[in-house]
Amino acid sequence: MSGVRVPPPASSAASVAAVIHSKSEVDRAGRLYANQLRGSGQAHSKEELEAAVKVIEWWRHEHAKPLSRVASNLRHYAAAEGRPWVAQRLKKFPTIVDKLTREPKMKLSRMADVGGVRALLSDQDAAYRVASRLRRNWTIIRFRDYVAEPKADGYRALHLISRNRGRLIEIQLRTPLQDNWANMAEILSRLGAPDLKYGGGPAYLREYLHTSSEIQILEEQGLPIPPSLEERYGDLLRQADNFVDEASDEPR
Amino acid sequence: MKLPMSPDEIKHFLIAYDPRNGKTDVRSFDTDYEAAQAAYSEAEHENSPDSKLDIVLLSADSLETIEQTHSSYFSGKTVQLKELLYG
Repeated sequence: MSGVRVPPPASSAASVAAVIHSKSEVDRAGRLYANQLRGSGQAHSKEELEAAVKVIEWWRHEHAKPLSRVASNLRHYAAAEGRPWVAQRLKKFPTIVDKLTREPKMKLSRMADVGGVRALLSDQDAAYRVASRLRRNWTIIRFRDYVAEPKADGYRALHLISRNRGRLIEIQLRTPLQDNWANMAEILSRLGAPDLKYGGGPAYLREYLHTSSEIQILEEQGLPIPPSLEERYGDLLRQADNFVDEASDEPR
Repeated sequence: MKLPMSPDEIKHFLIAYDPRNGKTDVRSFDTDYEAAQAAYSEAEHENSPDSKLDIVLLSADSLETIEQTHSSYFSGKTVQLKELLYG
């Protein structure tokens, strides 16, 4: 994400692994860096900021092994439902600190998606089956059913937070349609509406996303799409297409 | 219980997506997670806020899987919203 400057590295991820930091040190480092970005609190020296960066990177590195273990197990569970499309990611440094900046009460040590794994399942029933197997066999500390209750922007998926050797790992289970929608939302926000996910950006884009999600739900359930909704959708799609055309033409 | 793939067999790819031209640069680290993470941090440090490069470390059994699960990094410059939704 733009606007975030990370001071130059003093050491690689591999060499910071030998150090151990307490959770309160981790929280302090995250807060110090986020406050600096928001321009709030006292000013910090370059050395303090660099030290904070190292602690944040160490914390992310701490998630790598638990993340790989969770992903391997998830691949096993997903394999029962066909070709397992499973991939993991370690959260980008800029999005870690953006999240801390956006949510001033958030503690870095409690951030549940520093390590995240995503599985694409063939359909909704398969996703629910995998979720209930995980809940039976793993330490799942949180389950969010964004299919039963989509997020305000229209996002749908099943999210589970697993604890593996003391680290929280987020698991996202999506159907192909849900994944297409989420990737489209990602692309739109990248094209020039970065706040789209958080209720910002042009209103017609938010409405376009929401309406396309509504239509997907009806399609998945084999229900007819009311003509008024169809018309509204067509209208919003044209506006969203224009937005994409203009954003793609501009040098970004 | 035999897992289809052990955690050590997962392959790591450092992705740099440039939204200005829609190009995706992929650096493969095979199964070396430590090297991949060191390169991830290094790339983040080197990336200036103005470059707008989107850098992320993704891992899976293959790059093909990542192209499926994280398709927004492989969408190219021009996108068709309808195609994104319905493939």
